[in-house]
Amino acid sequence: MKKDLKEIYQQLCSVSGSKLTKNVSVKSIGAEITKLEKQLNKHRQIQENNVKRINQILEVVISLANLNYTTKAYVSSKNDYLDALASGINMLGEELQSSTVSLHEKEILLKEVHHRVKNNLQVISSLLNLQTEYISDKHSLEKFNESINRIKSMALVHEKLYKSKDLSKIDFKEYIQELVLSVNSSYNLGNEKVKTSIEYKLNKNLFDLETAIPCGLIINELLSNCYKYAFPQQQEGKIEVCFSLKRRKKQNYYHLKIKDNGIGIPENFTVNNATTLGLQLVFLLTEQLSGEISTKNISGTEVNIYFPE
Amino acid sequence: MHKLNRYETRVFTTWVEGRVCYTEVKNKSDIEIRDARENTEIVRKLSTTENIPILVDLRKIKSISKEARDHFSMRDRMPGVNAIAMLINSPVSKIIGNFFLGLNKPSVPTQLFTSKQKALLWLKSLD
Repeated sequence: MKKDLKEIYQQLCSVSGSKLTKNVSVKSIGAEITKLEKQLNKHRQIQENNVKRINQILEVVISLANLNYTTKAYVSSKNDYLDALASGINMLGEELQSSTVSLHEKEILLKEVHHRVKNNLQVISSLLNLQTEYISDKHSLEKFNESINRIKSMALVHEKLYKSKDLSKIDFKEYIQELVLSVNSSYNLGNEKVKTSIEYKLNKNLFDLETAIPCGLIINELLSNCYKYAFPQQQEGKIEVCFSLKRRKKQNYYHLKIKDNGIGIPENFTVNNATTLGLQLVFLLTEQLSGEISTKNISGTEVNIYFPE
Repeated sequence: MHKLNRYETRVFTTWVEGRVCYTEVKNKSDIEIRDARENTEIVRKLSTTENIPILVDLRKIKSISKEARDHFSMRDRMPGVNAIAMLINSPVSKIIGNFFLGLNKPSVPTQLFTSKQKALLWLKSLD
């Protein structure tokens, strides 16, 4: 019995870290048990406290995920790993808040820039429009109106940009629709003898400025040409604008097709040899898109432009 | 060793010894922007005409505010020092030190050390 008590006592001491004494008694075993109980309670308290601290850090992480930067993790004076974790989370939150704020400021600034560019382009277009009142020469008036349409097509891109969620891209489908409508209204002058249809065959709608502006200008020029030359003497007609994706030479290409059923173009006509400003612009803008341009003369004129995706 | 012109502030003790500026963060200090600015003024006074390297002892730090970190990153001002060695060994100082290597990177060469001797060797190697 005494041997058993001694063994129990020795085991208790090894756990509690107490020094062994020679006289083993029920009293000394009781004291060791009390000591161990106290130690156990202290550990429990530390553990509970640590769980609370971890939960609090997790709550801050969740707040940050919800972009709420007001909550901060508690940093005690223990300078332990949980304090380090809490400090790190707090500092990351501060940095995240600061970068989110500056990002938001930049967004507002960019919106403002696009808005101002659009307004300035609109002012230029209005000034030119006012000037047309004083132009009696038909040819000059035509040139002025062409320039107004070019400016409008660029202003429309900036208008789309400041209204878009992603300030660097515009909804190209919407843009083409509005652009076609705008060119149509400036040439058709209400008699609607020429009908324009749009076929947008892409899943992708968002395009950046580098593609949208030259593409918009090309559409503006080609469409204007159709209105100006394809249907003489108030002839009725159809214009198709088609934008799609084609696989050519093992690569994806955007395909812009503008086709009319008008009188067609002269034989041996090529865009790169054209002398008009409009077609020269189309040729240069196609080059800017690293694209290729070709024309067909079958029941009207068909212009095909391919540029890499 | 004799420490000349020892400056005591709320959270820092700063002095110059052998062409190296030393700044020790006091125990359990929360560093705010006013502390950071005060420290910069003291370092400028101590370094007089030329920029000198600085050894920052972060080991007892408790926290540092975003404004103070930005101030110590020295992006919008003349640095006043030409290199920074940071002494770290506590968990919190390790985290804060690493912020100064990445997100709040100062505009002069900065390294973290757990040994004061190695930190001084590095600072002197840059001289």
